[in-house]
Amino acid sequence: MQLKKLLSCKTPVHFIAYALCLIGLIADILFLVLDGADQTFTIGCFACVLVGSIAGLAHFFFGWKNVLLWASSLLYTAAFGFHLSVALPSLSDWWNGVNFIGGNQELALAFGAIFLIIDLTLMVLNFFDKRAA
Amino acid sequence: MKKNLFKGFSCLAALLLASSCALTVVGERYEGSINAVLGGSSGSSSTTGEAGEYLYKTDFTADGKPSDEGMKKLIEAEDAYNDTAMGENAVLVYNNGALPLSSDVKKVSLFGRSTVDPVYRCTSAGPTIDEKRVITPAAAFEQAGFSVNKTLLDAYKADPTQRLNGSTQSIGEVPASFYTDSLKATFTEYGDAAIVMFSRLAGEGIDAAKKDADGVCQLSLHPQESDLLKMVKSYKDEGKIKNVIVLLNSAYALELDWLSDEAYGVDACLWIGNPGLTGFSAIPDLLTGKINPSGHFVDTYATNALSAPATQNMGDTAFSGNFRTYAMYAEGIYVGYKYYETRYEDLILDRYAASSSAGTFASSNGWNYAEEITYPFGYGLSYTSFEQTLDSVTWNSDNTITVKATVKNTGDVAGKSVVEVYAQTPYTEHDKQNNVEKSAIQLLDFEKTKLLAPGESETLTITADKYLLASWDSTAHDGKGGYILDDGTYYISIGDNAHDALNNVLAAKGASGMIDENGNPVEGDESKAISKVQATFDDTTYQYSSAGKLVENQFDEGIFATDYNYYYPGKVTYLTRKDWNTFPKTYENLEINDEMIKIHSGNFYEDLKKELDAPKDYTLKTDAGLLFIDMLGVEWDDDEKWTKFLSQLSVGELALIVSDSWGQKAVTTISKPQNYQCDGPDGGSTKYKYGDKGNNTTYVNQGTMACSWNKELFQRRGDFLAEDAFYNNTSCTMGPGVDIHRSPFSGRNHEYYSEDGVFSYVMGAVQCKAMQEKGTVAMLKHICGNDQETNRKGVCEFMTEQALRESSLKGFEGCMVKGGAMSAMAAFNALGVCNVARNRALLTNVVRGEWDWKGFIDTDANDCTDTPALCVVSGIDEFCLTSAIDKEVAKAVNAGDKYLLNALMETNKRFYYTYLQSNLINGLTRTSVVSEGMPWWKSALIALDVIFGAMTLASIGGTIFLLFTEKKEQGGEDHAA
Repeated sequence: MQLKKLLSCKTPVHFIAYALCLIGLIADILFLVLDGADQTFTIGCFACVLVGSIAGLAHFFFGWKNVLLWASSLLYTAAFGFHLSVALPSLSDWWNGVNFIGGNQELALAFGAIFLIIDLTLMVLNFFDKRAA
Repeated sequence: MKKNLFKGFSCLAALLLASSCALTVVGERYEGSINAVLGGSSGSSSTTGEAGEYLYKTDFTADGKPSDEGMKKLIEAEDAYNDTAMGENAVLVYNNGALPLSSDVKKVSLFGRSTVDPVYRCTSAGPTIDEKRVITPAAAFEQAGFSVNKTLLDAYKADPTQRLNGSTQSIGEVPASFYTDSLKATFTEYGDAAIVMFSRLAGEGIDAAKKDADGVCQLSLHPQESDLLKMVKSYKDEGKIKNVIVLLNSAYALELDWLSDEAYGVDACLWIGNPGLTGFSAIPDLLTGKINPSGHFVDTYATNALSAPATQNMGDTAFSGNFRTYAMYAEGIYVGYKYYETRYEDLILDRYAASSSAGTFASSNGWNYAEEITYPFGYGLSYTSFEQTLDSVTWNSDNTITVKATVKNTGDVAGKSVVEVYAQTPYTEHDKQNNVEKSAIQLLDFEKTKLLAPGESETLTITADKYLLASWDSTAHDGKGGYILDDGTYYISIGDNAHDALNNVLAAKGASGMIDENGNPVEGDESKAISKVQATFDDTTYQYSSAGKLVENQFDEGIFATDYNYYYPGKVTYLTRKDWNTFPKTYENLEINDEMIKIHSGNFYEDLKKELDAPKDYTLKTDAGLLFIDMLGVEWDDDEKWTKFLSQLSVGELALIVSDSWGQKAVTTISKPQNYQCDGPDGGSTKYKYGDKGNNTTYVNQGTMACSWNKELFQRRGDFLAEDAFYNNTSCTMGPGVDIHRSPFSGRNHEYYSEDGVFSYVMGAVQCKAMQEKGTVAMLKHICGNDQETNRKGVCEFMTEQALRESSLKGFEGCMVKGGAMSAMAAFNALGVCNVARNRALLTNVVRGEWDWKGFIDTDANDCTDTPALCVVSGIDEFCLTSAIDKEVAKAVNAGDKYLLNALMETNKRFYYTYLQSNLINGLTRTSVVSEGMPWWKSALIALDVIFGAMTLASIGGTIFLLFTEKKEQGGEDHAA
């Protein structure tokens, strides 16, 4: 009954957000495992994605006027900012054609893209967020 | 609805803010790099009143100041120079009489996909090819009046095959199936000559592959190339193609035993290396005889590229159970020709197990020189013939050796010849007992003739430094180490190449059974080797350096030990001449202990401080009225004035020097303008500031040009690099590259001179002198041991001190001590387990101590930024491509680190002393106004940060407000209900 009550006030927007946060959480773990030792990893990015994903998933249980989804998007944005600040110099090696900075550019690009896509989608979802009738 | 709008908009604003903040952070850290791309500036200087003198002047304007008109003239001169250089460094490798091409050769086919995708230069930091100026192979032949098979070229252009140079490497040659019948039908019409070009590419971060995407050694003839040659030969057999000429577009020493294989029908081969922007224009002239090739190899061309002793321990090797990597220099001094020629002598003299099968890769029955070698060091043919005579050798009292040799052109066409002077020093019982290795032949010096007409002669006088004959003996002076000259017989000889010179020495010794590189019996020419007997063992002449400093072991023990046996006694057997069975094995899974790990990756700064003299105290920010320009001409030893000058600065201003972001910011307190630098040995990595502001000239690649053996050409190269500095507004050029070609696979070989340290010593000195005299600081790359790109960041290189001093360091010594180069870049690797950037033994004891060198040292890009204090105290002056490390250093000094402050004062002295001898001072006077500025893009980013920040705050505030009011309304409704 409780679950039914929880589900009843959710819209498709919410479920898309939960799915994204779950994907983000998995990606964050992979980020730590695969990229953790590389110079394109920042603890700020990892932490923000972690907290943002948890916040988004917690919305299923707590609602809180949809603030949690909003906070999740802002945290993903912060994560992207952290990541961009270290990925860009590394990616410049591709442009230069020379390994000046180093770092794993493929992983930096992949995780940056994942976190950005999730962030953009959450951002759009915030425009359409409402309680189910 | 309104709430959602605010929520969504706040997310968008936050994303924009996060992005602009990230860009701002990146901009702060890499300000100089971004300025170099976007054209910004972090400071400027202008002169009020009368402009100061231009001490360093461009030759291309009347007043010596750069201008658009001067730019135009410089580019014309550089293009002409590149053509001349190319004409002199191409090596005629093989010729059965097909070259020079006769005048009836008009219509040619260019074979090989690389004819439309050549390697102008290998990948490394340096100039970008200016597409407006580049001369392609096809354009070069057309400009020379040939008709070129365009159908074939267009087909190559349309083919999707690509050369790969990354984690996967492939040569990018098309398969046999590419040549359709319709294509083949065009060969006959353009069959006067088949010009077949093969290319190889590696570079920074990427060694040539021992096994590439085709499963073949990258330096070997590939199946596609073999098929191509056989196909072309089949047309030659039918008379449809008259000549087959191979061009080798590779800076890496390829396997070339196939050139004489009848299956391929090659008539001639010209090695062209990497020709740079316009070098291809010289190729047709070389093939037609308008230019007579006069280049000679600066590497040994082994039959099997894997046969070099160094190659047995080169590449990706990790310590057991540890991610750290190493390279074992088990070859000792026996790099390149020193191995092959020394073993050859011992084979002839039947000693030291030279004929054993150890180290045989291409020999059929025991080690055979002619089978192991295809072309020796110094090899190169000509369209004419020369007769060289060794007139005299004089051992002077000032420890120089004067060699006089006469060269006569005995052929029918004009040409240039190179007098290669070699030496043999005695290999004695002392050496054998004390592990002092001796090469049977050693390059001493060289000189190239002018263009000699048929029948014309020229006598060359070459004065070489006897110091280059000395050997490092770690046991000398009761174990303190030093350079020695053994008692015994010394030979000075000349020859067409290293092998020829050695045969002459062997003839002088009365030996027999000598062969040439093809296995033909030769007698050698004893008249070309003059001997001298040294009666006594000499360990005193070079006990002190030319600067009067004591020279002794620096790398034999402690944290700077480079011999792996210091940590694990008896584990490694270095190749020794007294037993050729010690040919190196491949050392895998070596151990590393905690002590080694701490040295490699820890911070031993506190331990290091205990060994230093007590630091001095300085009172900073004390105005002495001295500006940067006031220090012009102040002697290095005038400590009082230098201290007064530098004590005017704050800690922050002193620390500013250590952040090198393609230069350093202006220091307004002393009116020092912003200074800029660019990369690399083949030209500037930036755009000109005059004329059409195009990319800097890409010169004929340094390693390619080395094959000219022409000192005058390298002097002019130094001049042109300095001229470029005027026109691209830099004061320091990262070049020349001075490490050795330890193995033919080393990715950076293209921008280093040679496999031989003495060649680098001599030629590097010439180039650096020219650069410095014309006002650009020569920053040598990379001191020392950057001999492989694989794991270059932090690879632990183990070697004997003799190998380090006589091979790896030799070129740097010549550039710094003889050539006056005032800067160097520290290599990424470790010597032993101590990273070069933290290696006080190298950076301070040897370079500043023994050599008394006064320049500044930069790290390689972003290296060792986790231990800045340790690096600076060890001898590093700048951290390459970092903009923020100065703050960290300043913080440490302000926290009370006096050792660091002392080191910083020395760093600043070296920095200012160096730049006072550069074009940075041009036009500066006491009235010059120097200002700090903010680049336009940084101002723009900060503005965006503010705007997006305001938007974010406003929209978040709005969202919170709406959420709060909604909550209140709901609370009211509930209450009402």
